[in-house]
Amino acid sequence: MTSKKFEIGYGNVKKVIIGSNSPLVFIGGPCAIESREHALFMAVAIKNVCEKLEIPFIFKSCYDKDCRSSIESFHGVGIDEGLDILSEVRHKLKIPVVSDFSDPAWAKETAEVCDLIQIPAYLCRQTSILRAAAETGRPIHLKKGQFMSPWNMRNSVKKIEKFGNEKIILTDRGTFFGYNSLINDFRSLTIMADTGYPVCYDATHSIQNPTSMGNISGGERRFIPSLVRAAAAAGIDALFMEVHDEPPQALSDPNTQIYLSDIEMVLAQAKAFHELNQKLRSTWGEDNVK
Amino acid sequence: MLNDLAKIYSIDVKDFPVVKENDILKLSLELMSKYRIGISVICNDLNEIQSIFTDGDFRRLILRNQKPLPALLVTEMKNISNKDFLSVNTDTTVLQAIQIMTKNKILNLPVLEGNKLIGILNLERVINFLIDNE
Repeated sequence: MTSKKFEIGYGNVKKVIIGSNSPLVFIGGPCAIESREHALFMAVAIKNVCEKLEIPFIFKSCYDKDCRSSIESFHGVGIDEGLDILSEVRHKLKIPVVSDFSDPAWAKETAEVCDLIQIPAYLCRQTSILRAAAETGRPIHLKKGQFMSPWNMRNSVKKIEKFGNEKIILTDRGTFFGYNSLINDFRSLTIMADTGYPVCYDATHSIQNPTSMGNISGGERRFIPSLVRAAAAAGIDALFMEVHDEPPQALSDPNTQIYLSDIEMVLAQAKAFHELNQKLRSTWGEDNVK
Repeated sequence: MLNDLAKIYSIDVKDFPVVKENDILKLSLELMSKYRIGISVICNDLNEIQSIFTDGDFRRLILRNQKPLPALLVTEMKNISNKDFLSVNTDTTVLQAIQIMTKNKILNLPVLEGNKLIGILNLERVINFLIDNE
């Protein structure tokens, strides 16, 4: 079935259309804003790849990392500096940006800068968070919690709709598979699409082994390309990946962020499978298997 | 009494389950339990009937269902309700309605005015009336 379609972007950034038969959207960037220089460098680099491949792009990077495994881990540059940096990225590069927020009180300020507002996976059911995001009026990037069944995401969607917002992207970032492990169940993409909203695959968190290394999460990047191809073949409206020039040196998610040097290869294949999927749908119609 | 209009003995719309097509199965089941009746009716915003869902439909659904129960409970009525249903209109007599119900082995008949739902004729209630007036 074809999903709702809406636009992401305000002001004079290059707006992105998502949903229905639109081109595959890429949402990506370093997990955390590490510094102004690094954020700008990464945004330029990823933008260049996306322009080369003609893939609509939304830059993602977070100003606060509340869900780190360890108290010793980097917590983020903070909302003020972070939003200032994202604002600079928007203005200099004319691209839409997204960040998440973990405190309802931060939603308004976050939405003043961000074109898309993200809800952390662990908070995907919290009414106060969903309400705060909905009331900003911005499109919402809602990550399905690792603990949630895909059909139960309907409840979070209903909460957001009740609070007056109907621009939602539902993202699968893997599901708990026993302790410290995630499984990718691509039925979730079909089940979440039943809500009528666009769906997205988070390829870097999906290969994560949550807190598998005692006080930090592990992960195996080598699974990213095949899982991305599979997701795009299954049917997604957007792909999400955290990208870093030197992941082992990254201040967060060093084991899951994908190397900048690898994204062109992955994005090109994602786009190819997305376009093939669309071509097959126009030949064979929407899936209607009894 | 058998020649009276069926609509006189029907249960009023506010006293039995009426849901929207986007409402979930769980709501229908809760309302059917609340009103102690084996049918829920799916109507649009104008109270026009779209489909029905009965205890029999639920039994048949369970037998063919493959989804986990938590997923089944949040399935929207439009995906599982019965668009192929019998109904009577405001001119139907009680006798005619009973004949339809016994011939088709059904216990509840929506009573319609045009396409609008105005009531449900429930066989158990009709039998009670008949016995009371015997």
